[in-house]
Amino acid sequence: MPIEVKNITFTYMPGTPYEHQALRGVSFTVEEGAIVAIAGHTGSGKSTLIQHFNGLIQPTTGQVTVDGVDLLGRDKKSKAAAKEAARKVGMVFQYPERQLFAETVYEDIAFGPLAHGLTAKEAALRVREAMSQVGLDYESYRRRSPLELSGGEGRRVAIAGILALRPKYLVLDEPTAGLDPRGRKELLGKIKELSLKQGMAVVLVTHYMEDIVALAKRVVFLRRGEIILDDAPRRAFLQREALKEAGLKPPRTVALINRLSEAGLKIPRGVLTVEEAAEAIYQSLSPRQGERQQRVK
Amino acid sequence: MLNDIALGRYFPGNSLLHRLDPRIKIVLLFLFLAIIFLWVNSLVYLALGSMTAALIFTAKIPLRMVATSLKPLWWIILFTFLLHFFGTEGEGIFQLGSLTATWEGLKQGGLITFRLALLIILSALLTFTTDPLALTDAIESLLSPLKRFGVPAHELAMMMTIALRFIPTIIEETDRIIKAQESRGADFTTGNILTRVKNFVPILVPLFIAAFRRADDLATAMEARCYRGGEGRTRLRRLQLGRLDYTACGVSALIVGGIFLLTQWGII
Repeated sequence: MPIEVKNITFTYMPGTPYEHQALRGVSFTVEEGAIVAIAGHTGSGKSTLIQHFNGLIQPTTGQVTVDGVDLLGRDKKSKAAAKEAARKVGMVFQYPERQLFAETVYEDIAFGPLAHGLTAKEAALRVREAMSQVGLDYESYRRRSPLELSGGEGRRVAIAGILALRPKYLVLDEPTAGLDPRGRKELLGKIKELSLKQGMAVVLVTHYMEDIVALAKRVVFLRRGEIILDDAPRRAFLQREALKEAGLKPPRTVALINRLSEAGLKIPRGVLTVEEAAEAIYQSLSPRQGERQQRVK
Repeated sequence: MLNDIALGRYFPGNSLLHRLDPRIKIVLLFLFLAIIFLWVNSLVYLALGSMTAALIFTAKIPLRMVATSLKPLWWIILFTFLLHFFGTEGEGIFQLGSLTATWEGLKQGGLITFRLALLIILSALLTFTTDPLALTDAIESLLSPLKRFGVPAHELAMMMTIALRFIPTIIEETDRIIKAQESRGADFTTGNILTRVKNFVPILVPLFIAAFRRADDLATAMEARCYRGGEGRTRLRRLQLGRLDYTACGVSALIVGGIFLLTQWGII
């Protein structure tokens, strides 16, 4: 069963001059095991949308269900069920390393499992597991203070703190923001691994198109609280109008192919990765290919 | 959840009250607060109450926001009222255990309650209709005569400006940290006092770290732009008194003078 968002709207501070409608009728489903990217300009409602996924905020109108359970508990019994369902969704906020608070890495990662009522022994198991999932060596990191970690390490610890809850769905808000290219690549690799090995569904909020290229099978463009496009990245990035409307730039590979095509080169569209782009350029420049294309024409 | 803080919220607008020089607003506010304290008299309160109502109306402040500004002090107001209601000697209305509610208490309590509400609403009107930056400018300007006695007027105003500037940022940050820790199963609403205090550690530690880091960054940024205190600093927006300000002062003087004379002559 998926996370289902049914026609939700959300208004900040209703009834004041600061009233602001962040979401206007959004419907959206995260299938089990899927990797979905949500992209949009600042203020498009990305962060507001994902906070609905684990019931941190309740929609003004509409409904959010996780595995068929409505996250808005109306009575005591359904509230407990809603809480239980919301726990399946792990939420990693922007710059999560800033939320580390414990004296050691171990304690910080164990906080979630312990708060959920696990025994110290079970929690210890979860900490080990989560640390290996994000690629942190248990022995060398567990006693260190979160304050002395680098940004990338801190972020992994924070993500491990969420993974220790064994979420079925992992929601990440700008997970690669502020990381250097290597840290970014490593982190994206780890996220991909989680999805492939554990079958975890991943929702990725980002405005780095390269992250989408590297990970997502599906991308959603948000603009002023509305979904304007929901498609596979390969097709989505060809929709120049939608990209422009959402205030986004295509990934560099797509932009390059676009420019080459505009410059008169016969080149196949719909490439995504650097390798595909290289192949396409190679194909279109090799004389035999060119002749064949001309003959076909 | 933290967005509901009403006190100190500015409502942009272009009413008379909005256009008034912030210094005049502060001075007049203190004048009226003093009057409210000096003359405990229902007719004086009625006059000032209608003046306040007129100001709220012209400034187009939603009544709901005015009510919200009273919310933090709601219990104090209620307590004060009950204290007077039951604590004043006089003709009894009803008995509650050994306590007697009196008509005199009702009158006195009502008066005091009204006075408290008036004090709060008038003060809230200042912040509702004044841009926080203009407010700190005004405070600096009003305090500047005290510079001769070593009062660091500029530094105080700068501190206030910075504090005001970072309130929304810190609220946002707090909101995010609370949500993040809630997502990890932190619970802030159950348990006894001790566990609840302990439960706040995951919020307070990151919040303090962030605040210190931010303060450090800000200090660096200010130094990088050669900030070195108020000495010889000029400003982009200068406060200047206009016709509106003189009129407001005149009208206020008339009101105060009128109240003074009427009480002197024993009419009210």
